[in-house]
Amino acid sequence: MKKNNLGEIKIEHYIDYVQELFNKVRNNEIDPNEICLLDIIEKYIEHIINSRPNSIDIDIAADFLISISSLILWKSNLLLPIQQEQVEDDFEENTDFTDEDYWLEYKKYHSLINFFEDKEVMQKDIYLTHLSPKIEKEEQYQRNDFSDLILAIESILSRKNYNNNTINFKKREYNILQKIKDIEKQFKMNKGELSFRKIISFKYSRLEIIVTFLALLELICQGKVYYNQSKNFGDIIFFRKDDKKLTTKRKQ
Amino acid sequence: MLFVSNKPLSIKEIKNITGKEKKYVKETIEKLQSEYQKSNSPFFIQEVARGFSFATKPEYAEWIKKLYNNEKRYVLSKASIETLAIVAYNQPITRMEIEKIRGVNCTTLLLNLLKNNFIKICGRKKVAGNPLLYRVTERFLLHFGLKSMSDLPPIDELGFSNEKSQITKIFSNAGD
Repeated sequence: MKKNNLGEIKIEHYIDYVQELFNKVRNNEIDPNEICLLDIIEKYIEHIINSRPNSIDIDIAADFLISISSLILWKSNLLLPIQQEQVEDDFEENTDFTDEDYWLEYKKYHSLINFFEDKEVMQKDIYLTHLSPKIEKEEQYQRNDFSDLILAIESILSRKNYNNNTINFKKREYNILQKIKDIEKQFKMNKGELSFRKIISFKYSRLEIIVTFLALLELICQGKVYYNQSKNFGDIIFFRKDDKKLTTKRKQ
Repeated sequence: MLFVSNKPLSIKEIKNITGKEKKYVKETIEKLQSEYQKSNSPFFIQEVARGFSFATKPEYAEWIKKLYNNEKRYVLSKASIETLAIVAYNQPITRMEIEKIRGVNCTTLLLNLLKNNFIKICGRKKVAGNPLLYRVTERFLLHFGLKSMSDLPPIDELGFSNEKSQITKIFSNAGD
């Protein structure tokens, strides 16, 4: 492989140079084997490291990445055995879809949204005997996993800025039992329905958020509380199961 | 049977239980449907999800909502509907194939649809990586009030050129 003579090229013309190189390879004017990509990439990384943080033009950097990636792909394809290329050609007869093909395909399904929305609106006011909202909710409760809750608590903890990330275990201000009682009190005050934001207040300290969350998990595991998120990115609503129902279930 | 069943009952199921002829079952359901319509009954027999089920008329929805403390029913987002449409027309289909058409990551969307029982995993595609295959469930038909998959409008009649339908054909053969 030849070593590229990049020392003489000014960095302003660097991207143009790479793009021109790519065009020449594409037009079979240059043999890609004669280009040392490592040399080009190292020179560019050197430029990035030496530049001031805010002085890099993102658009130019993106153009460079596209051009250099295309060159890498071009060179990598040359390394493939010829036989495999023939197989690929046969395969491409059926699957050589351009972005436009996929766009057309996408538009078909996108146009169906209105059809499904109309159907959904029509069916929304029809209640089937076996599919009442309560059964729907119970079904969902049975399928609930804790991934939504873990994501929600992670987002709350990441949004809060803490000067001190460590927790002093010696100082026990809150415990799970006490928090369970607090949550149960809140449920009573709010007719058995609470939102995640109401239970875990932003005013709480990191330790209090974690203890409250553990108390909530304990209530879910005991089957006293279940939750539902009716919309993506919507608030998670917790419901307290009827005490009467619980006792009858236990008897059974 | 329709009153107590926990799912829509198909004519075949009713026939197997009662031992009556298919034609007889169909005629009886039709007779009941017309009777309820004539007597302006608040409920009717809806043909949904490959079967029949008792359902309340939309004009009584307000009262039923009050009965369920104005409980909101699950409403799908546009992105979810779009993904469901792709799955419904190309099932069984892999996540990668859905993403190729939509052009965006669909992992969370598929997880939500799975969690809410609109789609289910129906196997693995026999290609490198053995990706999971998805198909729509009965809940999909119930949610949109569709009788069966044949209730969906034919994809080629949506006013688009049929030339590029090869993609759909290839996806449709995914499970073979």
